[in-house]
Amino acid sequence: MVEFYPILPNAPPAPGGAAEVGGKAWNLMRMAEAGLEVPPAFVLPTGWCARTDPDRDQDLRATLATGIAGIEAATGLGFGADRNPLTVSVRSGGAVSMPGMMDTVLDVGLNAETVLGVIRLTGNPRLAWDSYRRLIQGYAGIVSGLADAPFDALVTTALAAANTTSERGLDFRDLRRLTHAMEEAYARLAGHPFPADPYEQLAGAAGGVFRSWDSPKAVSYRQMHAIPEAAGTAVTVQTMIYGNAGGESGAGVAFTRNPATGERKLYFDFQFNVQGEDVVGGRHRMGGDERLHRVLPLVWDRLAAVSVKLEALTTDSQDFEFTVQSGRLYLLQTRCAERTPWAAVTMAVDMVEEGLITPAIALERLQGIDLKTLTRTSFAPPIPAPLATAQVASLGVATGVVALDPDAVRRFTKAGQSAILVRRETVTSDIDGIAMATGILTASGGRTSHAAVVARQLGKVCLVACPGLVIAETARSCRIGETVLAEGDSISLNGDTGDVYKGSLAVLTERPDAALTAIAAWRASDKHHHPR
Amino acid sequence: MLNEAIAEMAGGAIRFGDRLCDVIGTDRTLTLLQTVLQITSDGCLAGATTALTADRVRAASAQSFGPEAARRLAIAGDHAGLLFEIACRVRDGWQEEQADARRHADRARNLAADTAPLIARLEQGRADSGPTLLAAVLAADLAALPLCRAAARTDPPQNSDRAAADRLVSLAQNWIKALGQTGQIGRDRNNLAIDDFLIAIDGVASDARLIAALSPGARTDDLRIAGAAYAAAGSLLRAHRLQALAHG
Repeated sequence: MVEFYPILPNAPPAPGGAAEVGGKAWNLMRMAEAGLEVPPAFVLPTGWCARTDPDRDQDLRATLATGIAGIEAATGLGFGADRNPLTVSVRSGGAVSMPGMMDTVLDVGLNAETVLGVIRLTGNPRLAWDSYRRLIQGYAGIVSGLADAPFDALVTTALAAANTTSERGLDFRDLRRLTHAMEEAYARLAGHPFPADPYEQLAGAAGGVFRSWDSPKAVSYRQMHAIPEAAGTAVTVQTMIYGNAGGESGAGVAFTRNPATGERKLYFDFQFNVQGEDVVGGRHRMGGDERLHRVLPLVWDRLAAVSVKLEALTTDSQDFEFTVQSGRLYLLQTRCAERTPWAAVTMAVDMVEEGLITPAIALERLQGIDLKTLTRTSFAPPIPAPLATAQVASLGVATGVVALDPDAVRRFTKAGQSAILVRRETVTSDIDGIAMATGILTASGGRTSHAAVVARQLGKVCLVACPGLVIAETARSCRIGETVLAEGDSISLNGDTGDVYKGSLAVLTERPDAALTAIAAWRASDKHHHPR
Repeated sequence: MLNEAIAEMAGGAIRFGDRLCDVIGTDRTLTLLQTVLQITSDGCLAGATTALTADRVRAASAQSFGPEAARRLAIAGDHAGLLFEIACRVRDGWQEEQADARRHADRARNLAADTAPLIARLEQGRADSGPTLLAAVLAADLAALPLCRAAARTDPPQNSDRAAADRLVSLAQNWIKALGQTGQIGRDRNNLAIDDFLIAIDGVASDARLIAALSPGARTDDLRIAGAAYAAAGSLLRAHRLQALAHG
């Protein structure tokens, strides 16, 4: 068994593929091999999971130390160093994805000294203390097997003391106090202090993640999905990247092609000085692509090149997450992009024309799409001046009455009226309202936020980050610029342009005729070459 | 014995009549007193010499006060952390609706109030001649008022305002980096900390210049004033450190 595989620029991928190193590490390896900017990492293959021999623990520690030395050489950071400290994530990863079933330990390498190094490196004390307390909390449960409740209670106490309901409301002093309280709780419950030695933390974290393969929830998930018990999980140790390290840092999500129209144009949301979860969660107004172009032109250019390279590597449109730390771009993961049926048809035809895929593969990808009923809609003239222009998250046009929450959508729909869900931002519990509405309009979020992704999956028109949209829930009204709309007033959304109109506009319908002709020609040729 | 040890270790940080807990905090005061009582009791019981017991008390006192410069830098770091938190409230408030923006403005005001005790603790230190850490922190402290004013504004923010707020947060981070690195200078053999420090100070000046170059408006004007305060603080800290280096 190979002890570990480095995930470093131009390093060859594991010969055993995803079965040997897990799906996530396999994708990272392929990106690294292609010269794409993956945070330096290494992976312990799945073979470690089954090892029970007496030398295992000693061998694991030696392997981890060698792997870390490779990351240190590649990054210039030092594991346990007080100047530019290296911190790593320790993630599980099987050949078959088991979402949420196994464990991950983040920010390994932090201690009382290195946390100050992270503050000096990033200038963000809140990030540093929050990362450290998350390490203690995660390590306590996953590695030391301590109960979650005492640590959760400390968080609850900290929230109450700071008079806030969300951990985002805690400042760096609150988080520092919370960290010290967690250190004390750990020492009391474990019977020994939280390990300050980064290598001790790493060995513990890797062992804990391997053990999570045998956790009851992982075992029952495998039984339900007929995943072989012997497969085991790999463990990936990867450099932590901080998107909130200052003005030349940030995080984003990108699509290599427009997931709503299929147009071949890099399509991304980026926000300066935030972590990736803020982008995916739609907590900030997004769409910083113009600013990124202006502030970090090299990163902007590189993203365009990365997009082309990823498609060449995977032969499909990709949805990838990236982080910029102090002006350097890193790709965190990539996967096949979700898309509307219209976009799927456009992409398939374009990719065949570009020579990226064959007509046979294109036809395979279009299975399940009802081409006979595929249409796109637009507004018929005359079209009035828009109230605002928001960002397009999902294509099409929609008219309906303003509904300010899922209950209102339900009420209007039951009365036979089309409703448009107008929200500050959507949350996962809005799913019923989104499903029933003809369109969604939000004040915040980005084209890649949850609202946008869900709306595209459900084929709903969706506009996000609408400028000037203010919602008065108690008055049951909203305002867009100077125009006040009561719940029940009509509005129209144009998912092609992002325009929002007052009133109900007439709708025209179109079909992707040119694309359908090309698809028909492939089918005819396929029958000619493979007659039944 | 305790008075002597404190005077020796804390230098000008504490003066006759000061309450120990006001200078080093209640927790550390309790720990120090418990430790000293333990040392002296153990010393008496074991028949230790007065000199040995005095040295042990000095060592315990040194741990409580730490080197004076490091203690003052830690206070300055906390002050910079509070300014960073206020800058974040401005930025986040300008992303939110009115009610949430008010919540951020209230929080910014409370955070600004917490800077005063830190300044008071720094002022208790020795009065150095020339540009000092205290002067730099006082200069940065002038950013708090315009930041709170910016957070409390109710007119709708423009995209350029939001860009200025983002940049101000970056500036606040560079100020934290600069203060952090100044404590590292001389600790590493390769003097990398000096370069880290100079890069951070340059970041402070660059961010302030970028904010100054943004189109005028009430909100951006507030941030421009805050940026200028930081820039002045950066100049003072740079002069302070370079002068200290010149004097070895």
